Amino acid sequence: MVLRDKLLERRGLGLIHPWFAFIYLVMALILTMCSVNPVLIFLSLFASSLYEIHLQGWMKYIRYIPWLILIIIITTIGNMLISHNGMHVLFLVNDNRITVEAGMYGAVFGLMFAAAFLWCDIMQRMITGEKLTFMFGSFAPSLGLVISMTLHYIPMLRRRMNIVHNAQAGMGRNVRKGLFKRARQWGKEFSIVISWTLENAIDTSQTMTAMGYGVGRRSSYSNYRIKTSDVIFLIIIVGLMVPSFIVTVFSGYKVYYYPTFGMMGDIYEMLILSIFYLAYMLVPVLASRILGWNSK
Amino acid sequence: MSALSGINLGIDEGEFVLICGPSGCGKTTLIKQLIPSIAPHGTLEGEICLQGKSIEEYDDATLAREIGYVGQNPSSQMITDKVWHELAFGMENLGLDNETMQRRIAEICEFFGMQSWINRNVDSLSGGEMQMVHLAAVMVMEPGVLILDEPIAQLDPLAARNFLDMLNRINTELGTTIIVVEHHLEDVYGMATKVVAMKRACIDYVGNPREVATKLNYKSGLPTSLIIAKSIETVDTAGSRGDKSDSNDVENTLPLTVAEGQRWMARRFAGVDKKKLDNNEDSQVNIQDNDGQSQTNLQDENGKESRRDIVLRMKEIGFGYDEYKAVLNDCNLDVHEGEIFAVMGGNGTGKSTLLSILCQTLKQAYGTVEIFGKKIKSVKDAPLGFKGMVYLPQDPMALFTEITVSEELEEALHDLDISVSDKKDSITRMLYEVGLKGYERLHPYDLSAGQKQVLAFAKLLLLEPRIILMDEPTKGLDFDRKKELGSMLRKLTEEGVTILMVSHDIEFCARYASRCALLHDGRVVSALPRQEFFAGNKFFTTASNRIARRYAPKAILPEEVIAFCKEEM
Repeated sequence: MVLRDKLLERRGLGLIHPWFAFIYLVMALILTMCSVNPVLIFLSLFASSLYEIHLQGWMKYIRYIPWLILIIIITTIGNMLISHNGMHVLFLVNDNRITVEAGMYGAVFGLMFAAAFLWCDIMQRMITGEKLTFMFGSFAPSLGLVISMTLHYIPMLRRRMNIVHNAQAGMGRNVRKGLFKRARQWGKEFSIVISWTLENAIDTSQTMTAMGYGVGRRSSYSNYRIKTSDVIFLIIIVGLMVPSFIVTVFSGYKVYYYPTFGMMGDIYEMLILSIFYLAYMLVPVLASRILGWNSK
Repeated sequence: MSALSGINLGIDEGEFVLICGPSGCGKTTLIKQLIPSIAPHGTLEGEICLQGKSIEEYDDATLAREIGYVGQNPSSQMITDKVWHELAFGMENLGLDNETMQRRIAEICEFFGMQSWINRNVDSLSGGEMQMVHLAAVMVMEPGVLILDEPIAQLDPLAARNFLDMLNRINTELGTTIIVVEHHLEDVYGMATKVVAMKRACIDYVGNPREVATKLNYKSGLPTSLIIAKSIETVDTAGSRGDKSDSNDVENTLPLTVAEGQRWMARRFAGVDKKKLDNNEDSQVNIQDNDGQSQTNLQDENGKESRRDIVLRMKEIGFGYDEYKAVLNDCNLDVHEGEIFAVMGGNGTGKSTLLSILCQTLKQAYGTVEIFGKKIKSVKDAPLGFKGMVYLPQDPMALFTEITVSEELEEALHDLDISVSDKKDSITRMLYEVGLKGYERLHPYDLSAGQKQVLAFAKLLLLEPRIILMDEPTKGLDFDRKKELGSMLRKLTEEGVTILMVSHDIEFCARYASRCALLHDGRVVSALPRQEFFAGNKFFTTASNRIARRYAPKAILPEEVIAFCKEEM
């Protein structure tokens, strides 16, 4: 798992300068969230799914599907219960109209959330802690250090929690029965971990002081440099971003659901611009094919 | 009372200074005075100079750069999440630019041979690796003086050796002045160019290692070859008292390392007929009989072995943390009642995993665990706790919940159905037994490392266990504490308690274990009584055995070698 994550960082978006990859992902998220056009949302969902499959393989992706479907069902039913607009009435609940349009609108929102969920997941995989440290470190070195220290503490606390739990079990304190007793035991273990860690933090702060922490303005070390491929990447995404923005944000291609489903504007123009949108969303998949050491 | 008094010490550039002395003699206080930013609070009289200028005249940045500090605890010295960031940390503090940092990191990685570590998570490093990374992180700031406070106390022997070798390289190749405080002198003593022996807040002796060696009268802690040679040579010099050249000679010939020890043995036995030595097989047995207790114990065991019950048994255990690598692989283990069984082996061989499986906090993939002859299916079945089996974790901190020592001990008996007065009694008794009387009101965290270990152990002993599992019980202990622990273990086994420990500590196991085994490739191999085990090993054996094996192949402890030498003379 860890090894695989490492390999992923050596391909596609992982090789792009963190800021650029970050800009790309944030824009992909914004583009997805800005429109209620089912075609565009579908394209976004398709592209993000494709990238997830590329990153993690089919088997892992299939595990997401029930959750995605759950999101869609919840928003669909939710919207049907909340919104009673729309021409096509299915049935009445307490004198409230349950309409097809409200269901469609909810389903599209569900698809949008699903796509956004996948993009966030991709972002979480691509913008690793190390990159976060760099990004924050570049304008606020202390904040970068705090992030790095936090990332150090999380696995350490988890490991210590485990050690303490085993040690307590080794004293016969493996409480399995009774909610209250279990909570008390957990509280005990948690407090051991915290006091242990705080005690060590004194050592850590001594080490930091001895290494000159706080003697002057900090700088921030970085491994990242803007490469030619980063510049090309930036040009491409900016080039694709503009038409994508037009298609999602500017009216003339608006989709409406109430009183009934319909579209405004030139459908052909919209289709052509959608191709740019699709291209934008597919950038990571294409980049992984082009950029990387072990392209398949 | 002053923690230090009358200290006059000059250290030249490029020296390798070793500061040694019993616990609490002020070693750490002394070296912390050299680092003003972390010096303990108090009144300081006198002056500390760095390169002829008082240390107070330097600004913080210069001091941080000029004086590097490495402490004892590897994991608490890690600050960030990645090795590269750890290396960059000090330079970032000084505000160096990226270009310079990159060059220096590249250089230091080359010097330390840690190129492949650079992108690793700090969390994935072993203790030895952490300590090495921290040393590199300090060295990357290019200090003139490197100060180390028991840097190898928490490391396993191999990692400790690597660390010391690196220190030696830094000293000889870069000319960095090194000041190191250490208890465990076996390897470091021979490296030092100057030894400072301290005693009760004062400096006792200063000089080159061989000079000081003649004067030091530590019973333990010194290199084994030195201990052996000194106790023989003093007998000699006492015989030919008054001859000055002789004592000078002693100083020149005192061995400090194993190799020197072997040569010293060779000189000793140069006159002795080889044939005579071959006949010595018998006399050796005699010697070991003289050694007494341990040997009789051993024979006892051999005799009784068949009769005694097997209390802990692992049968064909297999375990792995992921599907790629098996940690334990068809592992078999039998531990008899009332013995001290030591499982040894390097880092990452699965020693701690073995204990977790016995506790069933980790579940094996296949195989069975039997405790007291009963098959254990899950952690619920395992007879953990009161009058059963207990587990002492590597880090005693994992057991401490209370704010005073006595409450800590009470906590052990907290849930048990024992009357209050009985509890009080056993706690008082325990405090006496483990030597923590007088410390009841202290916070457990304020105890020394050795006392913490003892307190954790006492907590478990209150549960009157029949089996004790111990994970690296001697980690961070000095020699006196080890001795106390060892005799405590012996006493427990006399009461029929069974002890299974996993340890790196060869010398400790050689002295106190009744049987030893190596964990290798997921299996417990060569489980033998300690003497046979160590005498049979060529590499994995005690320093005494390596020094004397040509003449006394069965001697594994310094006393045994000494007794053998005396016999031969």
